[in-house]
Amino acid sequence: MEADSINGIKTNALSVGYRHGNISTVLLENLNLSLRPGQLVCFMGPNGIGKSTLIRTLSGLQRPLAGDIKYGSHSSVAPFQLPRHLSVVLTDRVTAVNMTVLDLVSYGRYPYLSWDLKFGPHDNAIVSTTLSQFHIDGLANKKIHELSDGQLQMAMIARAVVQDTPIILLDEPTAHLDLNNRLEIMKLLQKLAHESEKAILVSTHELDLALQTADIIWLAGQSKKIIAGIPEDLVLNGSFDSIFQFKGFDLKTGKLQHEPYRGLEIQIVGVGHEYLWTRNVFERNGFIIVDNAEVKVRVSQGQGTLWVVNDKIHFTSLEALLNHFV
Amino acid sequence: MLNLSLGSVEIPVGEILKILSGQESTNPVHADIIWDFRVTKALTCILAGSALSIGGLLMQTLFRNALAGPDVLGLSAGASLAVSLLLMSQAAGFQLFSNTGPWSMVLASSLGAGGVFAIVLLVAQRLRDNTSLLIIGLMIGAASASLVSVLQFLSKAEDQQAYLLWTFGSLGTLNWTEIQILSIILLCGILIGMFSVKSLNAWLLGDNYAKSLGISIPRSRFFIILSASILTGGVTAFCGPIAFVGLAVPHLAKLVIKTHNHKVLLPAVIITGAILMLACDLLAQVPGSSYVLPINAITALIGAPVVIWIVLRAKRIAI
Repeated sequence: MEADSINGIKTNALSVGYRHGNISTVLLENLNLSLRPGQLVCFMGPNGIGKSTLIRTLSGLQRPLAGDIKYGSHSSVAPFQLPRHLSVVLTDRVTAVNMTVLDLVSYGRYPYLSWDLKFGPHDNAIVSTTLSQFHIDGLANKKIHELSDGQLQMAMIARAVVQDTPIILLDEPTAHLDLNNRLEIMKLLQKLAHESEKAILVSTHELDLALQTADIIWLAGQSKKIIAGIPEDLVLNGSFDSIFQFKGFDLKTGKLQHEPYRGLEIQIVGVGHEYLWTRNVFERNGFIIVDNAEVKVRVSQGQGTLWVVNDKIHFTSLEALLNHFV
Repeated sequence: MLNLSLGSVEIPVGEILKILSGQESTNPVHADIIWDFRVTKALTCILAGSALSIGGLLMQTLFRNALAGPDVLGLSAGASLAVSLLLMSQAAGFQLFSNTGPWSMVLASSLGAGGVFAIVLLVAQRLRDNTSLLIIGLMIGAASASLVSVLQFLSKAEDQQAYLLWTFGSLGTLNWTEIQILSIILLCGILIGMFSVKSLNAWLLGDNYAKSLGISIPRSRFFIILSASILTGGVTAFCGPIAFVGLAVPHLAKLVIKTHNHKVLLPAVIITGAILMLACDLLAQVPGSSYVLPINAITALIGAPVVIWIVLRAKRIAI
């Protein structure tokens, strides 16, 4: 079996869930999904809907309740061969004494090694390239119990990349990362998908990141189904709204809806970011922003920003301005 | 060497060197003592120490539990039950074995350990997670221990004493044939352990990751249990239940050699185990006197502080 023949996943009437004795609980059913090479798919849905279960099932760690999974053109792949075609990052916590970041990342080469664990030059090269790609080469000799959750997470993702498989499945890989690393990981995964023709599935709760990086979004809802589509379509046809049932969040504008409880109308004059953030302050605090009102706030930019109310009172900070009204 | 020179009969070191290198000794009795008692005992120490330590390392890795030892699966308990049946069954009103020679002891404890091993394997195939397996092993141990105490309650004092002596463990009673057999058994166990290095390392990441790296969970678990059982069962059969060595040595080795890699850890543990066992045996002879203490008294004496220390250390660095 050639490595390049397995380059995507197709499911046929797949049902996933868990068995407890003779009783099986179905979480997601009748799934006909495809994960294609060159695509970054973000998998979203509320907690407890079965995202991790689907990822474990697709990785071959758990048996499907019904239906089947096709890897590339093969209807079944021997479990011991799958690790050369599919790598996975789970939410399982890894703890081990005396294990360094380098050790952890090197685990990615295990599917290619025999029992004596002899690393060849190619294995070492791929490990060191990946370490620098993830900017964790400085941590290589650090013990994993000394790492922060975010650093450990980066190492776990690096481990999956070192496994060098055409399919990568990641379960909430950005959960412990700061904003910078979150962006970086998503961009890196996007790059891997687009440039190395990998099929990548990421489950995540980061709506904004998913909307901006995903080629396809899988949306798991309440009816045990998954809706798949490009992000923009799912936003406009209301799929996101119906599944997440946003409370006061308007996805089409990307903003939270505020209750104008103060009832006071304010007109804001200005441009640029200063205007947007001034508007944000008033919206967040329950004012109504209109085009023409008795109260007029002018945002003037000279040396530093200055806020002028009705051409009379000057403020040098938004906090002071807000305190004038509340 | 130090181990060879100490004993109830004093033999000078130069004399020992002569004997070992095959030269004629000035005192033929010394040669006999060295070859038939001291060397056999030292070899037994090395064999038992390294075997039990590897058994401990395998169990600690398999269960990802720092306090697991080679006897967590209940193998020693099974062996104890079989031996106690052998020694004390008459008292309970039925006769299982006709003679109670040394070989029947070996046979009985092998059967006991093997029986428990079979039960554990059967259970292991039904259970998915190792923690349940650990609990099953402990329960088998507890059940056998209580059966043993029932037998003890019913049996005569001299039979009880024979059993008690066996539980003390002994390293000095093996002859050359027995050592040969034990070496072959233990070599098999160690080889299986060596071939499991990859899966042992992978177990450290947890079941799911191990599986995602291409490790067959049931198969590698079978081989790890098989290896640990051969090692523990073999030593218990010939030397009695020797406690603590298997639990303490892997931790000592990991302190010296800071690695998770079993490719390095296995040889390290073999050496540490052999050294520690020789040292324990040395102490058991009570230097300067002709007394020989039971080996288990010494191993526990060293083992207990080590365990306490591990627990205290575990509080500092979260494992």
